[in-house]
Amino acid sequence: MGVASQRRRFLRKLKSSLPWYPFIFINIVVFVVFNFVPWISMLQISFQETDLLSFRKFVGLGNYLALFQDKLLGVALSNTFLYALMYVPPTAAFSLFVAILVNRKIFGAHIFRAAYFLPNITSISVICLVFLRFLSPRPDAPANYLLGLLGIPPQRFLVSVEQALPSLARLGLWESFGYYMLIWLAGLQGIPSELYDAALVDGASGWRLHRYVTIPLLRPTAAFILVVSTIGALQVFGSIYIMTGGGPVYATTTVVYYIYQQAFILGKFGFSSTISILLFLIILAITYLQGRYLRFGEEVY
Amino acid sequence: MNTLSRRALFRFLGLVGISSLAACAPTPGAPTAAPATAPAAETPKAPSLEATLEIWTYPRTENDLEIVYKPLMEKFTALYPGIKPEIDVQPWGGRREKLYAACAAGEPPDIWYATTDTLPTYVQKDIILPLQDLFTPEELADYTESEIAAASYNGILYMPLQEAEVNGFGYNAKLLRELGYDPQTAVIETWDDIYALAEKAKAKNWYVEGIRTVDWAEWVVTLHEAGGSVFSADRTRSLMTEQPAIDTLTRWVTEFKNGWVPLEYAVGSEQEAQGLPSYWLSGEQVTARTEDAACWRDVESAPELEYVIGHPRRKDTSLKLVSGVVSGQGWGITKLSQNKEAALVWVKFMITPENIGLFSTLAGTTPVGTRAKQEFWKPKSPCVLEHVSRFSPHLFADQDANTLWQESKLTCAPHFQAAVLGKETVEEALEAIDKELNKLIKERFG
Repeated sequence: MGVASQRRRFLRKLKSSLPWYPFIFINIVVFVVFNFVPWISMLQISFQETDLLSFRKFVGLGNYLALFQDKLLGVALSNTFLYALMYVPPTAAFSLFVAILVNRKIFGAHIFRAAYFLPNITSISVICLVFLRFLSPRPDAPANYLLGLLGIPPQRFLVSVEQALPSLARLGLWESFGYYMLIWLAGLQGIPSELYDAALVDGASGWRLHRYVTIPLLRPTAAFILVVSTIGALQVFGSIYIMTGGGPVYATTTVVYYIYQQAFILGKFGFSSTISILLFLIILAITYLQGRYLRFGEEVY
Repeated sequence: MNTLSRRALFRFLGLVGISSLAACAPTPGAPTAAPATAPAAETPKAPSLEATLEIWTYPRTENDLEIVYKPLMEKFTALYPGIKPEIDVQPWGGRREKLYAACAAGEPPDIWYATTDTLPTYVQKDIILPLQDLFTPEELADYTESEIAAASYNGILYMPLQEAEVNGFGYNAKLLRELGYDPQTAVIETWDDIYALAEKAKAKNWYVEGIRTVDWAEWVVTLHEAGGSVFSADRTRSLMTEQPAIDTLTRWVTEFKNGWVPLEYAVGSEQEAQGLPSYWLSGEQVTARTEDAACWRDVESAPELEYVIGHPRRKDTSLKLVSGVVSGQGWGITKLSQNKEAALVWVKFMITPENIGLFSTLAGTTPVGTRAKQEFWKPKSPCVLEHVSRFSPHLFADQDANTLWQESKLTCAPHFQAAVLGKETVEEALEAIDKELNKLIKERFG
């Protein structure tokens, strides 16, 4: 192929793509201004001891070495992983279960879908303030009253070192399952009905239909939900900030809350930037592994 | 086809890396913030000044802009037509973080409503303009010595006060009566008095008071009731393993263990304290630590509440009575303000005795200054005056009031929680706190 024809092809391609570049450019600008520049700035600050106001001191890898000596960071990391474990699998499973339920052609399915989605569009502050009362350790508080009806003794929920993190994870599940339900629902409705018809002809029905048709074909949706919910879980902050302040006794101090404390209460912006980079690397590694094993983005049919 | 070779790509990435690392190194002699230029010492020719002032303040009423600032700013604009004050009433929660972030971004307000307990941090972060030589003695004449001291750090005036809280205690008269006390004569003063009242209240399923482990002021005041302090007078060491601290934490543990105080107050966010249920307002708590205007404000919120002004406290009669720590709010001018002269004019206007009195009358707060209180303040209810006169003499202001305030509460609260929830003994908790506070002191003061 001659150079002239290559150039002609290149110019033709360029000409046909040209109208789309402004749209891409806008996104690139937004990305650079709001993601890339702050990220580079954070990287720069992570090599400094600074409160961003009165002093800046270059400390080289000092903040990175300090990560290994910080016992509380270890606690925060462990709490974050525990939270992710208590939040991600139950949320994915429960939202799938609800999606399958509301995907049936039943009367009022739309109302159920809207109702389940409602907590997701409610402000997290409002939800937390309501749940602060709901989960009060008093025997006559709503949650304990309901448990009492089942013969279960009053629980301490947010005031117990053992129960605080699971309580927050359950709150997170309640708040977000409607969102994941919608994604599952889209996945479910994207499965061609011919595949079900074929399975029915082959003698599959009920649970076997879901086991051999629905679940395998939902793998891309599952991959998306697991990746997104894991990232969300590793970045949990709002409910902790409002409800427990990282307590009791550091039981709900997660990495992002710890970053907030180091930066905005103690003014250690250099160290908090270093923890942010560590968190970024952790999320990157987990997402990479999830993407690799769940074959994120691959077509299944 | 032209493609970027691997070598060229590595060269490019190498250049990017080197330039980022170079950017991390400090520039020798480069200032971290623009040097603040102090306004001229002589009184500025204010009426001719032209500026728009951004002023950050925090709410005292349901609509501060209308209720508090509109009348004051109308007066101000009549006097100084060229200066346009833009008042931004922000939430109290997270106010420090927002201010620090704005200063870091180089876009601070010109003036903000500063709090005395954070003054050392404002100075340390170099965000507050020293005002020492910018006021004439006449302009500061109405303040008492302690009010000037509270607004100063290391002898330099930074934030002339507008108001000061006088904290004390309130009693629920209805509950007291049902527990066999005469609300008009009952004096709950020593810790033994509190324990006796607590046992009676518990029998009725009420709380004697509310203790929040994340409330540092609560700890400092209770510790002073026991005759102690958190830090030595020279701020060189923590005193948290000494007997008063042991007595104080033992009291907290006793109260939580016996269910005399609400268990959910043991945990919580300092920033979002208002989210917790108030058993005081719901009529299930016999006494409460209250601020000066609570005698009418709490009753407005909870008309069923039969409010009686309480008494200062102490561990036993051999010790001094304590009501609270001196805590006030005043106006700070940011060092990065582009309108320092106009800002100074505005602050001087706000702190005249007449305007201090008017501000407190409108905002329902307690003014500073002698004439401001006597001549220009009309409290919403006479009970506020009674509260102020009962508790003012027992306020204290020492090293604890402005030493490592934010850091201390962050360090201590988890150990207080561990003690009251039975995860650590009182001694273990205080040992751990003492070690961490001493480390902080060493880091901060050398």
